[in-house]
Order: sequence, then structure tokens, then C-alpha cells
Amino acid sequence: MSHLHSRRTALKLLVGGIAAAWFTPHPSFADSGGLLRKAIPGGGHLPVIGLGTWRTFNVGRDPQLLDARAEVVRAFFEHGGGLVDSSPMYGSAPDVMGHALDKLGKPDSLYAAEKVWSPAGGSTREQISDLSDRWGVDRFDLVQVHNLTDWREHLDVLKQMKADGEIAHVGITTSHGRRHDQIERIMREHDIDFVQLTYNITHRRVEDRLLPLAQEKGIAVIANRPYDGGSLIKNIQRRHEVPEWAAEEFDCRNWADFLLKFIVSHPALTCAIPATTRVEHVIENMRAGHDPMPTPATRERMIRHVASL
Amino acid sequence: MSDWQTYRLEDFIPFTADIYWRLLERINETFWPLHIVAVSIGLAALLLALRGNKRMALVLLAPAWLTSGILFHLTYYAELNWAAPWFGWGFVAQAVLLLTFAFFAGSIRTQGPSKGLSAWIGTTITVVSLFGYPLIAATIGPGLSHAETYGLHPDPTAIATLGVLLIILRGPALWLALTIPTLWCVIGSLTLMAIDATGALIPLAAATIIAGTAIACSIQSAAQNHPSRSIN
Repeated sequence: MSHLHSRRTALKLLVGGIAAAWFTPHPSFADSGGLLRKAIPGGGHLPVIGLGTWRTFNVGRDPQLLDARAEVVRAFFEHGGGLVDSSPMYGSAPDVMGHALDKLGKPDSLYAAEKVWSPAGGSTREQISDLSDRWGVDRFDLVQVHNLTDWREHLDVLKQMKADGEIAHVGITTSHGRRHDQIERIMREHDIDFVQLTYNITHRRVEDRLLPLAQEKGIAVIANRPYDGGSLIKNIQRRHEVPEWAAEEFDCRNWADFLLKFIVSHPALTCAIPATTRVEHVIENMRAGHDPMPTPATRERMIRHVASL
Repeated sequence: MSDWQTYRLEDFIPFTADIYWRLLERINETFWPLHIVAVSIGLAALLLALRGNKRMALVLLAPAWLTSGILFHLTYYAELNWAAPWFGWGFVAQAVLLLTFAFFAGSIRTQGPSKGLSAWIGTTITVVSLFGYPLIAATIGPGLSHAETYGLHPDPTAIATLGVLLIILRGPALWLALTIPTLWCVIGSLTLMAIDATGALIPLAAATIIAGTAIACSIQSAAQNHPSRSIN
């Protein structure tokens, strides 16, 4: 039954995609088309699958790779994407986003997320201004303090910029499970909209305190390293097939579905940001943001299954 | 667990394998057929070293460090890696060091007749680096268009230099001259490991063989109390 359903859905998507490509003037970005969305502070919703740019978008000035990444961005928005996350620490990634948006146009669904980092030294506004020039956007939807570097100074400025309407949301980030105590203190004591942290099926420490706290405080959560830097999905799909019960229980077709649906089905999670260099992987990732999602009991089974591999 | 224990090798390499391969390809597209000139100069340096003309061998090694430092690191790699300018200036420093050794060749300790273990190993490593290294990309790597060549790309430049230096230098001068090429071999291997490249350990293996041979020669020299020689 589920196979029939998914075949019919796929056919609809294919026909719909061809029709959209044929009739819609360029630049064309489909609506979310079934991609799940979650609420963010201050109103509005974000698609549950975003796009990360660490390592993958640092292509320098290579025209061939600049165009290749623009195609990745095109596929992301055509499949209903919203949040793109970058950082001044990611080399040329902000310039590459600028190239892509210049080439494709700026879709309405774009939710531009950037970061500020060390040294602050009064440079927060300057960093943001430089990054908005590189992206070619008037303002960012979200600016986060990268890995808590000089976070007090940055956060004060970001809050003021938010109050002045210069940015929409303020956040902090960490990764690899670092400095969770400090993240927790900031979440408790400061008025922030987003927290970005590492969460995937093999790194679930944030489930204990940070995710419940985010839910309690109404803070949106971005999950970085959903594939653990690529190694998780690479290793698992090289050696193992997706279990049959996963297809039956939540229409899971591949390991991207399995790993991403696990993340975004957590009630505290707003968005996962897989990074990729390939259009087919973006499409695969975006499909993982569609219903059905695993139930809490299925999530437990997924954890046990991956632990047993 | 401390923060540092959570870092992995790939966390320090801000690009993926395909981006690095494309960088190599761009350099090849832009500078071909400079490769032939560079390899010819490298071969000339090796032959001069084997014939005992150490001053000219050192002089001929220097351009490869300047070109791979300035073209590879400072011009191209700097687009991808914030540390590349540091590497580039390190390569320029090595070129200056080689020229300095060439200038003062008469007063630094060098190897006597180019024979024995060090000459064989130095020659083998240099020949493999000059002619075999580009074939790695063609055979087990991403393709011939991504081949790395002496004088343009840092890994074969460092490995071939290690081989020639092992043939011609001894004592503190050898260890000083080996430092930057050896460090680069370590960095080069770690970079390739981080992007999961085939043959990632080749630079590290070459540097280890050279260092091992240099240590063995030093021990042998000390045991025999072999008198040092100078270039006339």
C-alpha cells in the first residue's frame, strides 16, 4: 500500500515538476510541496531540511565549481528549501552563496543564516555588513555567534540589531558536543531565538538537557552535522541496507531518509542542515523532510538498529 | 572530554575532495606545459647532485619551491585554506635556504662521493617523485588531469627535494634543509587523509624513509668518525 502510495506521489511530483518547469517564468522555485515546516520564534515557519555549506561551498574562484554549487542551491529551492547556513569561517562559502543568488535570483523562501566569530573587538556590525555584501542580501534572517566566540559582546550587538530591525533572529552555535554547559546557561539567561548544535542518531547527548530546554523556552533548534560530517552516511550505506521495517513504518527509501527523518522528527528540532556538493543528494535530502515521520516508538527502534550495526 | 579531543582531522580541512582535485586540475590547465620544464630542471638537479656538482644542484632545486610556493599556495590554495599563505611563505623560505646553502656551499658539510645507501635511496625517491608521482592520479587517483607534478605542486616538490638533499648534504645542514620539506610531507599526507584520498600516506612514507636513511648515515658516520668534506 505504501509502495503504491509512494509511486503515485512520485508520479505526481514528476508531472508537477515538469509542469512547473514548463509554465513558470525563471527564476522559479516551487513551494514547499509537502516538505514539513516547523514554527520559529516571532511567527513564521521553516522547512525542516536546510542547507549547510561547511567544506562543500568553499570552492574559491573556480567558475566550474561556482556554477555547480549554484545548481545545488537551485535544486534546494526548487524542492522547497528555506534555510541556508554559512559562516565567515567557511572560506569562500558566503561568496559562493552570493554567486548562486545572483545567478538564480533570490527566492521568497530564502532564510539566510550567517554567523559572527572571533575576534569581536567591536567588529560585529562590520562582519555582518561584509557578509551581506558577499551574499548580496539586504539583511540576514538569522545571525548566530559561531561556537560561542566572544559571545557576550557579539550577543549584545546582535540583540540591538534585532531590536532595530536590522536582523530578524539571533542565535548561538556549537558543534561536536562542545561547551554544552555554557550553551545551557546562555539559553536560560539570554533572550535568543535559535540554538545550533550537533544532533544525529549517533550523537544524542543534547536530548538530555538542551533539547528539552529549547522546547521549554521556545527556542528554535538547528541540527548541524546530521551525517556526522559525511562519515555516518558514507559508512552505513556502504555496509548495510535500509531495514525493511523502516520502509513500512515511515516510507523510508534510503539512509538519507532514515538519518534525517530521525533528526527532524524530534519535537524540539526545527531544521537539519545537511551539506552536499551534489544535486541528487540535495533532492534526496529534501525528500526526507516529507511525511510520514517516525513515531517515538519507531525512533527508539531506529536507535537500537543503528547501535546494533 | 576536553574540546580538543572532539576535533577530527577533517575539521581542519575546510574543503571536500572534489574541490581539491579541481584545484589541481585548474593549475594543470593553466600552466601546461610548464610541467615539462619543471621536471627537466628537477632531473638536472638530480644528475648534478650525483655528479658531485652540489652548488648547482641546490641552485636548481630553489625555483621549484618558489613556483609551488607562489603559484600553488599563495595564488590558488589560498582561495580554499586560510593557512595556505603561511605554507606559501614557508616554501619561499625553503627556496631562500637552498640558495643560501648554494652560496655558502664551500663552508658547509656535504656528502662525499655520491654512492652508497643514501645515494641509492635519494635517487630512487627523486626519480619516483619526478616521474612516478604524476601517474598516481592517472592510475589510482581521480585522473591524469589532476596529476601532481614537481615544481608546480607541493607534494612531489617536497619529496624530490628530500631525495636530492639526502644525496648531497650531511650534518646540521642536511637536517636544516630537510625540515620544511619534511613538515610539508606531514601536512600533505594529513590533508590527503582528511579528504580520503588514495595514496594519502605516500608523502609521509617518503619523508620517513629519507629521515630514517639520514639517521642511519649519521650513526654510521659517527661510528666511523668519517671526516667531513667541503666543496672546493
